[in-house]
Amino acid sequence: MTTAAAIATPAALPAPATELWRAFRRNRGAVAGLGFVVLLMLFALLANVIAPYSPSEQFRDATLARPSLTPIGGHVFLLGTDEVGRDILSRLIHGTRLSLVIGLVSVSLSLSGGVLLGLVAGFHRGRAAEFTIMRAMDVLLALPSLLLAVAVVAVLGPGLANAMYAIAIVMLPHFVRLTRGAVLGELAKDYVAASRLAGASTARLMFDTVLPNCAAPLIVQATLGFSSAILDAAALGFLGLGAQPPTPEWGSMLASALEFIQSAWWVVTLPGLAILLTVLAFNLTGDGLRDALDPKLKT
Amino acid sequence: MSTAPLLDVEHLSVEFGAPGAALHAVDDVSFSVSAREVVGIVGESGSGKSVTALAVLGLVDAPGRVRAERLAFDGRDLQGMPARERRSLLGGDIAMIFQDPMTSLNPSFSVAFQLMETIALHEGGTRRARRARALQLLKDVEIPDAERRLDAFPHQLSGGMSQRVMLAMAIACNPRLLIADEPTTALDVTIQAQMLALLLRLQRRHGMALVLITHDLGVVAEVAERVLVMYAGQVVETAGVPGVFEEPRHPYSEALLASLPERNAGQRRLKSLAGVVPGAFDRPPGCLLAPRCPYVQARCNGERPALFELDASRARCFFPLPTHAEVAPRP
Repeated sequence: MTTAAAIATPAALPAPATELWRAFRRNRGAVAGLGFVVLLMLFALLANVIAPYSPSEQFRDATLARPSLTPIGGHVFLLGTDEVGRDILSRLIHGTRLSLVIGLVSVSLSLSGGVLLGLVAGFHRGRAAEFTIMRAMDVLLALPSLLLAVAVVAVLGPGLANAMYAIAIVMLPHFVRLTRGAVLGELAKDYVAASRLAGASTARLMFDTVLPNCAAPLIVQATLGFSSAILDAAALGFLGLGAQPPTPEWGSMLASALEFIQSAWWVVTLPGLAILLTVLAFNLTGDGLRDALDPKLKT
Repeated sequence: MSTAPLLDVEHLSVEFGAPGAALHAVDDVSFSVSAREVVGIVGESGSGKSVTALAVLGLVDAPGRVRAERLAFDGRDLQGMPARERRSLLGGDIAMIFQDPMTSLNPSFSVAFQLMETIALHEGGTRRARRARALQLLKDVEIPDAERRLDAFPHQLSGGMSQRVMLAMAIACNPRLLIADEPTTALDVTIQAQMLALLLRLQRRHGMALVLITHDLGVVAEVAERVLVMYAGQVVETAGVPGVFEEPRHPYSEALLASLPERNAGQRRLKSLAGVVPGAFDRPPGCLLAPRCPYVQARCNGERPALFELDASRARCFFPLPTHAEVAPRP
């Protein structure tokens, strides 16, 4: 190799992770969103350490205390207390844990089921399997999402776990359709034919050849799905169909504080704000990921 | 070395669409490829070149129907073979490179990973040995700066480099037959010649048979020993290579040759054959070329010609063009 050629070629090609981070970093909103998400994760992991009090401990001498730095009976309630004297800050911090678990569980369930069904539908194009799966998904899509979730909870019974299943079912059609669409796009490419030619079985084609190339839209959809799962769970909790009191779930906190909306703004505003910020952070992260992962959408 | 052909295809047909109104993408095609032979398949877009190759490899999917009287590789019937056996035979002994280099590599994995996967399948060996072999393959296909390209991802390679990586993967398992489907079409003209020369060098070094599918007659003239000219799914002429260029017997071959830029030097306009390849619904009842043929006769419109044996070639024409020796005027 001559020196001229050595100068012409840069030192090394960037690793995929580096490239992704560089693209992601250009979107400031996304970085802020990701920062907030990381903060939430820390809250969730260290809830027992960070939260000043237990989320269910009742300070009977300080019910509906305003947010302030002044101690009441020797305790400081930074964000005030609710109607039975529980510290709102502690409840919000513990609620983070629940919200993230809800997002994680329902998105994982929905994603794994959706990817599997989407792959089967994409690989059996024009056959009974595709027809059955896609029409079933159309039926699910035809129902308003919250109504469907309520119906599922009504069948399974109220509770946090059932709410997560319900949300997973509501999100399923999005993942199935997205996977199928991406699979159909990839199947038309020559590398899939080359793989078949080399003797790959259908299962190998599905999971080793095609699936990694469908990952980008799925990662984006999963991140955005996180926020809609948290929102839906809060809605179910608000309706009394999700987490049951005294679980410090944001939606059920809102529901139980509803009667104080006129007298004590903080019991309603703060959980609502927590939901808003969390959903916003996940959406910003998701958008940033989409821009970074899918250059075709960039303008 | 036996004289039996490596690949033997007899009366191959591929149809798409409803049985009543099917499109005959490939219509009664027969050809054979001997070991170490270079065969060119030429024809314009839609003439069934690629589908023929895909059908031979069993890559035509459900809605398409493949029929053949005989489809044999190395004396073994490919049609009656169980799918698993067929897959292992194809992966090892027949390799194919595709037209579009940008979609021929899996974008999710690095060049090294994809090459080493192929090597693991056919040779095995330790990780280190496979990586060394992958590097050697990249050097064999003359990729500059091969060490660095080994860990590149497909989107970091140019079209020409991707095509070379494809070629490296194809020769990784020492195939006895390589099918190249328009391997130079998507490349720059300057790279095309390099690529062809490389393809031929590798073909000689590995003793492979090569089927070169192309619409570029210039490529065939340089490379192939024998050529099949296809039109609308049919073979219209087969001949040895210097022969077909000097004395085409079928009007379509002649028209293809006449449209080569090299043969139009000094002309204001390139010669061309008016019209397009007939589709599913406008297939003429007689000779498929009849609507476009400059020498069309009454008989051509009513009757479909068979592939007639001529002196040195075969042509699907009632009135084959005269050779230079035959000075007799056409009827």
